[in-house]
Amino acid sequence: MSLALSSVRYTYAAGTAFATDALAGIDLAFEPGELALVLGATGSGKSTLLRVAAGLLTPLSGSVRIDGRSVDGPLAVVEPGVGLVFQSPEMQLFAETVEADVRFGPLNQGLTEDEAHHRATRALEAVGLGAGEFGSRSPFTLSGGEARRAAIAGVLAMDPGYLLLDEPTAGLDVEGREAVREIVAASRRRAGVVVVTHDAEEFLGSADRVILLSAGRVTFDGPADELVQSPERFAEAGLKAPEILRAQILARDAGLELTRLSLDPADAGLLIATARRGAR
Amino acid sequence: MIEFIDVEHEYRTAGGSVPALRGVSTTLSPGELVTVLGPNGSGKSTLARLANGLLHPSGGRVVVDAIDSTDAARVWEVRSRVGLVFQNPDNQIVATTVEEDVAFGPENLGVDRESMHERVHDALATVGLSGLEQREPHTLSGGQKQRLAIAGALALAPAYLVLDEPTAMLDLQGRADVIDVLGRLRDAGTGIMHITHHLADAAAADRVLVLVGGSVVYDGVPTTLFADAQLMQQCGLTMPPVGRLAEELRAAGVDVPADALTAESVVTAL
Repeated sequence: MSLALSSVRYTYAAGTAFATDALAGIDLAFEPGELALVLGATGSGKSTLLRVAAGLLTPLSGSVRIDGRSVDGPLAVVEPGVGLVFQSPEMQLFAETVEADVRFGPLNQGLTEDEAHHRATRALEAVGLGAGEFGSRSPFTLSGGEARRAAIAGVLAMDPGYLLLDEPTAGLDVEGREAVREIVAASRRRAGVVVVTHDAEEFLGSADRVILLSAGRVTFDGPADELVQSPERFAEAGLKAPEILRAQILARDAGLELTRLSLDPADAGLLIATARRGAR
Repeated sequence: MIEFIDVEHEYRTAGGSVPALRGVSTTLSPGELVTVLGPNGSGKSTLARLANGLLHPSGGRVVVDAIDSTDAARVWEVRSRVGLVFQNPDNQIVATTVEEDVAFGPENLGVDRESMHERVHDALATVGLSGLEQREPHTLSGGQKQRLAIAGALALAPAYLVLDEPTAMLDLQGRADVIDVLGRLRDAGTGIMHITHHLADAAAADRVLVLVGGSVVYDGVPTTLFADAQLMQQCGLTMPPVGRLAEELRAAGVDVPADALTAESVVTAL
């Protein structure tokens, strides 16, 4: 059981003077129940990776398989499906009511009105927008955070086996980011979840696995804590490490002997305080 | 100076009108960096669009260097004094080379060739893109593109620059580069209004303006806000992890200032 990419290459404007290699040989497999975080500088191929994995782009070479079956071409119907939540997905809300918007996906999958309604209700509950309160509202009256959640519900309602999210917290306030983090964590129970983000700090604490992309190649693939303990990997991928890790690296550079690095402020504070006592 | 005087703004919809700003009074002076924070829907973007006359207030006044923003005869004076930069750089880049893109604005204003070259050169140097004049914009990184968008605004030599979440699409390095550029522009005398969701960006500001539900709930120096947990909560703001590390260290007796929200400022205190 997996969503597997083998030797995947993708080039934009292939065969023209503007050809740009976005993915230069990717081998990755995502498992159900797993939360994988994909980090990389802008232009490293993150969004292309998600589009190829969702079957929206056909790789130039290599293959994408779901549970061993090939996703052949953009219109292939493969179950369990792959749901992709784009950047700023709330820009794509279009129906007259929130419920109708969320119901649109399941209806297009061929479900009956009743089944689609049931799916929509469940998906709205899952993102914390009670169907009773929000279902009949126009999407355009929602706040930024609510609209983002409604858009995510539209993908969840199609019950994807793999849920891919591109920058799900970008542009959201504190409350909105918190809500999206909770949705992502809960989705893992029903699907394999892949999150592409610039806000590593938002998800590093809850991710099972982190993948670093640089110039279309995977430069790191391992548990979050392995990355935290070797933060030079961020720089190798052209990324700045999260500020809290950088503080501990700088403290080390300044001569403090930290036994390990931590993403947790209280834990990191303790590590630094202990090291300072040891230094005296 | 840009003066917002008791500004009200409503958006009209089919179902009536939705208030976006309720009696906002604040200022932006030349050489000042003001960071605007607040939840989604608090009126931040509306404030940005009012600053250069893109929107007109429903009540109160917006005055830019003594010109009322609704003065139809002087609308271009207002717009040339206040540059606006938006969230997504891809939507703001128009030309096929970096140099032409920056030249687009001044060209349209009829700036002569000689001073045009100087403006483009200076604008690119300010944002750290010198040497990339002939590059195609789509080959730039996200951070570079956003700095190109800023250079495009700078080439019009605005006295004030208003930026609406210019770092939302950028990685940490790209964000740091943009913040660095804003600091240098402020030092060179430009008045900067920076709208953001990243609290850490506010540490570098002279003043922080927090909007909640269209009203100003804080307008003052960052340290006072950061040090007041109750006010922070009221503003819907939370400390980033490095700020919470600083709090932990303060509790352990290390003298870390309240506006230490970068790794460097925290470690300097050690």
